[in-house]
Amino acid sequence: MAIIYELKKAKKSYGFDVNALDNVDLKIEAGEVVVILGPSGSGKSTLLNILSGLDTLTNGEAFYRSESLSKMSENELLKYRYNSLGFVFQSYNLLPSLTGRENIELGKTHQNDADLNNVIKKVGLEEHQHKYPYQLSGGQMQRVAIARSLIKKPDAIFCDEPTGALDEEIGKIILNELQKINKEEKTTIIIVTHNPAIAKMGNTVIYMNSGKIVKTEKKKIKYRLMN
Amino acid sequence: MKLLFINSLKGLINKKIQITGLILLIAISATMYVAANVAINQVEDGYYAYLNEQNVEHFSFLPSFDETKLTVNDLQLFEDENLSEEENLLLLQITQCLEANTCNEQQLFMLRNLFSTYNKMLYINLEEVEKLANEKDFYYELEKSKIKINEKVYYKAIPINLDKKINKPYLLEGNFPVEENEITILPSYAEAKGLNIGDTYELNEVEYKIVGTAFASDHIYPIVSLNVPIFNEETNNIMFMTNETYDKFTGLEEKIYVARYNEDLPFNERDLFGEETIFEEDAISFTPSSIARFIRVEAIKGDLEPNKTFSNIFVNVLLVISGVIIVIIVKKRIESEKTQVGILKSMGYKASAIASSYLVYPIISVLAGSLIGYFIGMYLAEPLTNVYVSFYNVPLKPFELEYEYISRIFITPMLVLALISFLTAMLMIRKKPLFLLKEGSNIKVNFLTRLSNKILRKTKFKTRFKYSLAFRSIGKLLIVTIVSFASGLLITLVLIGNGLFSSIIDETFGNMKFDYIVAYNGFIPGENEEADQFLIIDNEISKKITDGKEVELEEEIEISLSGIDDDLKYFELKDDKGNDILELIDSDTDVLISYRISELNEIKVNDTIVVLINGEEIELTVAGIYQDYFSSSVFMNREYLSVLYSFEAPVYNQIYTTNPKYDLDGELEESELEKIAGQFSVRDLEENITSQVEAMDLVLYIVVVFAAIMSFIIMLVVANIVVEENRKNISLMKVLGYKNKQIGSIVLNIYTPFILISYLIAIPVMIKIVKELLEIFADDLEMAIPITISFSQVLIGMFAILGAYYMGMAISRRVLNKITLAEALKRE
Repeated sequence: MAIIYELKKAKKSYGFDVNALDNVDLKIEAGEVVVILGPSGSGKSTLLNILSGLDTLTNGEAFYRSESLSKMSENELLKYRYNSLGFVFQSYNLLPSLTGRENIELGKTHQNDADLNNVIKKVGLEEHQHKYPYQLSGGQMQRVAIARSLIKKPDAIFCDEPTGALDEEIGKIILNELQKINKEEKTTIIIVTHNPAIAKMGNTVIYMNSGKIVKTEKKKIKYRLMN
Repeated sequence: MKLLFINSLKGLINKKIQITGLILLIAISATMYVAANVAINQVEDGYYAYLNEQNVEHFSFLPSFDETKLTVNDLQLFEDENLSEEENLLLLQITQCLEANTCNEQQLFMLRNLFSTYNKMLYINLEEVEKLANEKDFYYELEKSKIKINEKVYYKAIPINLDKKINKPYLLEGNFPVEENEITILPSYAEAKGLNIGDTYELNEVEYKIVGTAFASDHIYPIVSLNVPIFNEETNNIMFMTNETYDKFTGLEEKIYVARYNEDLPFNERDLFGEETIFEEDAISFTPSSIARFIRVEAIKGDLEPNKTFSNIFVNVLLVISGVIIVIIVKKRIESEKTQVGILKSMGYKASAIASSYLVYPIISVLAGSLIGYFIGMYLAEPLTNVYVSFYNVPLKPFELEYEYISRIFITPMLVLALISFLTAMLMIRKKPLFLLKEGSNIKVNFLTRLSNKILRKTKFKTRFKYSLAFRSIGKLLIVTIVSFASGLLITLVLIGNGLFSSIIDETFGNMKFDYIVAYNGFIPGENEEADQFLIIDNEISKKITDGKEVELEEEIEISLSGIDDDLKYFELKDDKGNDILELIDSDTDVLISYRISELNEIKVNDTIVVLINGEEIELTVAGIYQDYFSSSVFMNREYLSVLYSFEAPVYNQIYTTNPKYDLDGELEESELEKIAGQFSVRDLEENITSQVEAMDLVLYIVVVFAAIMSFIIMLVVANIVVEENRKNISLMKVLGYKNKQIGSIVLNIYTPFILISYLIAIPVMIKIVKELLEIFADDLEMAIPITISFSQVLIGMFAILGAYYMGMAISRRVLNKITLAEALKRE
């Protein structure tokens, strides 16, 4: 499998004494489901921010398909995110004044209706697409966020505690949704979480603590529903 | 409580641009309030003290003169006068007709002129005057002065009399004259000409010695006489001298009674011609000179009040804008601290205690803004006072800091803004703690957003997105609209106010072909080949007929009926497009009225105006409106006007000419000079008016600069609000990979159409406000000022308002760019 992301001696410091990432080396293969696990302050969100081009390294290098993210200009980074990445956040980050359908459209404008309907159908939002975020449940809002990512047919979807604000049942449904996408679209899914239960859905599970990768588990998993 | 205050104080740091904008607005409003009020009060205090200490006249008059009641005995007053042959003949004719009781209207009119020319009106009917003085409780005395014009300088000589009861001279420096040929001069003249006490000064081939500088206490306002309407310190000098020196001084003598009530003056300048004034009494009459004297003593009040009102209105407008901004700040702050407020409420904190913590915003902004404004205002007050004093001849007390304003500029804004902040906070935190703690309680979509989405469903995503964001919060949309409207008002003021008065002067004087206007004491029959002749008689319009309907006027319109000929050489009457409209006087009853009369009284072409001549109502048709913002003249056929006033042949009492012999220091024959009541040099007048108007433009310019700064600050704040409001949207779009340009065109431009609409609405509103304000000023200035705005000015204003908006946005975005995207998207 091709390497989609690579970190070499990656270091991210805040001030003199806080190292959010401390000499991290990492390779992620395309089409994987990667779960990054660790307690608060372990550096997992920083890792996600670096890979998604939202933040830059203090030292070391980060690559996306052999291209150095550190060397990309602001505009190239925007293009990278706009064309290649999807995001799913714990707090959904939907625009309250847009309907569900419009929030999905925001992922990549100038979509044709067929593609839009297709994505909406895929996440099961047909009945709720014209509702505003305040009229949707947490699970429905997170589906809108997933559909917003899918609409651009991304290379990778970054999920930051995607089930953090949801109850267990709904959380499972969302994770299944992501697994399905990985299987069907071969999209790389990178999930950051502190919930060990989610680890079982990953091909690769990276354990982090104090800015370091303390353990990496690789496993072959067959697609199965979370339970 | 203390912790809550500290928390709010920290919040200030996050609202740097808004708080700075607020502080600046308060500072500007405090500056204007302090500078204007201190300067005006300084002048006012000096003025009232001066009026009382110098016993400045309340009015001046001549005993009432009714030519129909004159007897042959009254004609003896002329025995010692050196009358011309014509005048002797007239006197003889009148003696005969008085004896036979057969004098006609014209003869009596001429007799009146003769009494006026030789100042004989002073000695008629004095018993009645004395009776009136006792009844109305005033005292009076005769005052005399001589006027001499030499090398374009207007000299007024007054005999010094330290026992005078009224108009006591005010000595500024040196001494009053005691020896022959000693004089005092006006301080402003001394300064303008670089003259000092001890210098000698030659006039009329006599050498005078300057022994002091002194004010003539009835020359407060810059108007010397109706002949010299505008004061120019370089060309006007008032000299006190001993009686002996005065007797030898050659010049035209004026004698008039000056009077002062034992109590305060019971009427003001605006009531000058009202029914309640002393001028309505039968025993006395007032002359043109009385009016000039009254204006130069009283008009200062009418000048200062509107200035004070204007500055106070301006300050209140700014206070309202500041109020709007503080609402935004408090609202935004509470929105972002909603959960925290919910926690505090669930912990048992009272809503009022939490709301009080937000008072830190008005307290800090008023303290900082007012303090800055106070010091700048006090610093500006002195030069502003000097601007006023350059207009008024009033000695002032030494300038000192006035601490009473500190309390005034702090207390009012503090109370108003604190109350607004408190109420806003109370309104926002009145909800139950559980609601405040609930996630997403502030993401509800209002009716307008839903409606706009429905209406725009078929449009492009970008359009739908834009308007859904704009309508997301009606309150914010309203605030942006109101604040942009206020900025639009200020920008319009800048556009129409800049150089307004100077351009009027250019327009008025630019095309004048004559150099001199000469007014005669009486009516001159015959023709003057070297001049355009005018017959000018004061009258008033009592009614107007518009579209066939007669309209009784609330107040009669004072006009000068001006008879002119159809072959004018120098004088032109043009309409607003610059076309000559003299030929519109096609029949005897056709008249041309000025833009001023038309504008102030809503009289238009084809309306009929009614005037009373010799007890008969004469209907005149308005054939055209000529472009003059100062004039109250109604032009008509001179021959017909002469007939209406019972003259056998056309007469004139004023000429317009280019002949230099009519210059103020020109050489006219004694016989013609005696007939002349006044000579105006148009170019001198232009120069004088320009110097006064420049000062008015300066005041306007200060307002314009303030307005421009304020509109800029307001737009910066608006832009900052827009960026702040969309902070999360912008961050999310950047995370999703949208470029700055795309974000700009979608999110940041959402309010642009609303800003533009507010600006366009503000233009006619400001024009209306300025027109109303200038109407008050125009009453004082005797002019109607045209307020227009051109398309190019509208465009300039539009670029200015959008320029300030985008600049504000750029500044705000720089701050925003410093926030990492990941941070911005974290849960709030």
